[in-house]
Amino acid sequence: MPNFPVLFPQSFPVNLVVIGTIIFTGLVVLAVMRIAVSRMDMRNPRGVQNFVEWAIDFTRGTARDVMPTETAVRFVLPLAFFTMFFLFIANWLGLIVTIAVKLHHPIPVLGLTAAKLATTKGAVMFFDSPTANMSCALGLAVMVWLIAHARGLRHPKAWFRHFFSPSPLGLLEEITNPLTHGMRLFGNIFAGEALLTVMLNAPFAMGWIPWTAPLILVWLIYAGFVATVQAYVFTVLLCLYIGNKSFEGNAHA
Amino acid sequence: MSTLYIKAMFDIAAALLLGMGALGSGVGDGLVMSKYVEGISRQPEARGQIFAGSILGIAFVEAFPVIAMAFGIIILFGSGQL
Repeated sequence: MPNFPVLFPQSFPVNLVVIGTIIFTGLVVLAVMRIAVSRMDMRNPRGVQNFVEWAIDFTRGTARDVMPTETAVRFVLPLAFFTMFFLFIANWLGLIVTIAVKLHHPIPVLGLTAAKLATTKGAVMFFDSPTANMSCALGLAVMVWLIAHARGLRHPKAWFRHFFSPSPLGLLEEITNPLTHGMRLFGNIFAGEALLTVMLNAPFAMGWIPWTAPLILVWLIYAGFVATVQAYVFTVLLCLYIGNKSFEGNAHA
Repeated sequence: MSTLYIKAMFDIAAALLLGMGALGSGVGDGLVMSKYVEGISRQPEARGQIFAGSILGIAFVEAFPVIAMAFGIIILFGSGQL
């Protein structure tokens, strides 16, 4: 388990690295979107604009597949598109670069006590995927859950009825859906990075043969695939969960 | 003796977690891929749509062993503390 600098380690631990990388990812998304908008040309689109337009079309297509009405699609499209873009960059961050710093003296104020540092030989993470943190991924899932219920509450009667419509067992979904939604993202990204760390720290065979190198290459390709697909899957489930609680129009549509 | 025993138990737990997860997801992946091949042999023109669906299905199936692996790594290297 990597060590992170943590604010208020005793009462309410706040992972500073995750907050920093969330803001960094947000800035990257903003910068890319700014570039895409600044060279906007309706007559002959090219470059980043083409890519962003394709990405928005793609998101709209996935949202239309799983949501009941066009109103709901229009409601969810900005959120779905930026969630997908944000998660895509956030998931790839930890594969492109992770920075670990070796500390020789413990800093108890930041939660880096001597006992904790001993477990990782003094290494402290300074740059990592924000989604490789359970709190971040579950926070995103809870955000989706809250938005879905806020949208469902526009029609309180239908919202109240949908809990019991097939059977009260549907109440169980209210807990399992956000839990698996967040855990799926966290598990995939964290496992990818943790296995990479394990393989990178493995000792060389006979002192000089880097026998993990082919394994690392294969796992990097797979982790890149997983990082891309998980951003897409999170977005599909976001559309599905919000669509399930959109009660305007025909319920059977 | 007892701390060694507990450590061994954690190792066995992680191994069982990974093994069972791999077993189940292997069967699941096989089912998804076999239906994918069946689907495109029946309707070759729908290949793109079926491919997107099967990738989504594999992502769902793969999620659980990977979650198991994340928890296995936590169990193994965090010696049980989340």
